[in-house]
Amino acid sequence: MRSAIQLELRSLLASRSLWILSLLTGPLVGFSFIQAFSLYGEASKPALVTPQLAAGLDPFDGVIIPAYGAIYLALTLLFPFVAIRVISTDKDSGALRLLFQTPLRSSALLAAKATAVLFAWLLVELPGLLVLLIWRLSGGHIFAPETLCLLLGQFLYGVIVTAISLFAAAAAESASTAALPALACTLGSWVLDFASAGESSWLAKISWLSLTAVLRPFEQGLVVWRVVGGIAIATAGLFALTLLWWHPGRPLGPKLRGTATVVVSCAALLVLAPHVTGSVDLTEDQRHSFSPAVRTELQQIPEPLRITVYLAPEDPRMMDFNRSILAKLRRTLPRTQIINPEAERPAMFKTGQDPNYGRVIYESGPRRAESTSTSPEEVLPLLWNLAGLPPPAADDPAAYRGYPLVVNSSRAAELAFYALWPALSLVCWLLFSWR
Amino acid sequence: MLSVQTLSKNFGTLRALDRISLDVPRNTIAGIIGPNGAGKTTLLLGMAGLLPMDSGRLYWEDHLIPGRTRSQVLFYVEDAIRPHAQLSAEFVLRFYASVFGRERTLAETIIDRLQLRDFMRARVSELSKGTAKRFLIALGLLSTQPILMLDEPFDGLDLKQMLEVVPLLREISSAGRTLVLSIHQLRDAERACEQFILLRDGKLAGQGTLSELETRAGCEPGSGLEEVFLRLV
Repeated sequence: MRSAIQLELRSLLASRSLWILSLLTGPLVGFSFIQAFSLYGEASKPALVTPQLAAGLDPFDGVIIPAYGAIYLALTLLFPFVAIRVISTDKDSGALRLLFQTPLRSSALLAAKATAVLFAWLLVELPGLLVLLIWRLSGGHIFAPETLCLLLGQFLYGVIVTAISLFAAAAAESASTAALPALACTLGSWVLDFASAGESSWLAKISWLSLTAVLRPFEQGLVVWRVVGGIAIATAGLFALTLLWWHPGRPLGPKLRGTATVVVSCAALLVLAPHVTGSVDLTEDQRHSFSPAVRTELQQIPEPLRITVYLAPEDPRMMDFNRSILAKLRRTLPRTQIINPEAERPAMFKTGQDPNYGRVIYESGPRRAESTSTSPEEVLPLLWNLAGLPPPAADDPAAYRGYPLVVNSSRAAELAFYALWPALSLVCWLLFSWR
Repeated sequence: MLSVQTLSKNFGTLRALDRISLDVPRNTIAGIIGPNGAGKTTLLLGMAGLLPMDSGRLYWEDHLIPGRTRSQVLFYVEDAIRPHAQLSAEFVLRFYASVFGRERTLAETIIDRLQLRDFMRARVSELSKGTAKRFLIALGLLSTQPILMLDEPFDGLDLKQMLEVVPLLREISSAGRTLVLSIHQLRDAERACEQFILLRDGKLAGQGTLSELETRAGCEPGSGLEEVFLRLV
């Protein structure tokens, strides 16, 4: 196994595609970082004069996420080619057929190849770590749990893209053929995201399959165990399919039967995944959670809540309501049932002609309350009233103070990403391709 | 004894192998001979379990070896491949020696016997045709399976190199391995092989030692493989 990993790593390091990926990722991340850095500095200037404005300046959202957006692009558009190459090159050169005849187990070979791809993922992530280093050295604030959450999301995204790419390479005859389904999965996610943001079509119904949806909660500082479980199941399934399809000697019949078994097993497990409801809020300002006193009080509501919302998903009030109440309620009381009849209706009929539009109905057992407000200040007292509970004692968690930062020059970042990184990539490429 | 029974393979309407049955005695060198398109490579791939067959079985020492476990008894090196092209020949040979648990001294001996020493630092993609062929033979010799199958092992070798490789293959065979070689040059086959398997249009045209084939083809003793080939194939 160790020698197989060495072989795969040496092959990867000697390949041009890895260093082209590195060469492109560095400046791409650098550009995003420098832009975000500059905009954050501009936004910070008024906050230095008026401290109340500082609360809106979160470096995680303002600098780190935009910079990591470029890594997401590299993982979506470039990384699959490197991952596909790990199998396709061996297929084309006859090396894979030789490897299948060695005492190495097929699963060990796949593990070695996946390890090599993981190394490529690490190389893509390095500019991100450089972003964090430069930001920190510039005096910027980093909240470690939130940042680690983002890195976990990037890792899971990298793992699922790897699994898709390896399976595509195993099943396709050539690298170019494998690139088509792999990119269809990664780029198809953008179509699903677009669909989920708008109309209620069949595309919107399957938008949970979007790969970008995997990354989104982690970019918001939230570890959602359902997503982690879903990725683990999908990855295991794709690796099992790769093992089924990559051996050229296996007849089509057993391949298809095995595929059906894997797909059905994974589908059954994925159906169970939504029942895993836990999540961890790792944001510094705990933006996805109610205050501890409100949480404790909500948990005392004896019967499950049923909330019927008559607001279109694209309505700003619905977005606000979802962010400030519904998402937090789902985390605190997973049994809460939320129904939105407006989400089922085509947009052209949501013109406000429905007399119910804007209403939110709360039910708990036989009790019922109604409101048109989406503000926590009005909704929470309504819930206490509905449950017959006294309002919780006021707790005042320390307010998020924000971290404004004005840095006059981004010269260090420009030097690092536009000069040093490409130079280092070229040197490494020459070094590893030289015997 | 390596025994293949009724091996068949169709590619759509093309019948690439038609119920091929053959026997290769243990510790011999057998040559699969036939014109281009006769099905030599398909037969070797099918025997190695690297291409699904429509029907057929393979036995080694009277034990049925299913397709998925063929690699336990067979190692097949294809023709004209450049495995791990970006890596040095030395690294690749060391890797295969390591996974097969071969001692370093054996690997060094094979490298010297095949005159690969001067090319060890070159990338596999940079090797000339003849050197690449010797590199592939070295890869095969590092494997430990009792049966070694080489596709066109002399293609690209000059006469001197071939005359050095043939004794090495004979040594390997007498040391306990059964060799199956696919060869299209009859003179090369006659030099290297003790047993011959003649293929024509995916069908078995004859098998046995040269004298057995001469008798079967109605040739005079000592008339040679070329005469046998012309009559049978």
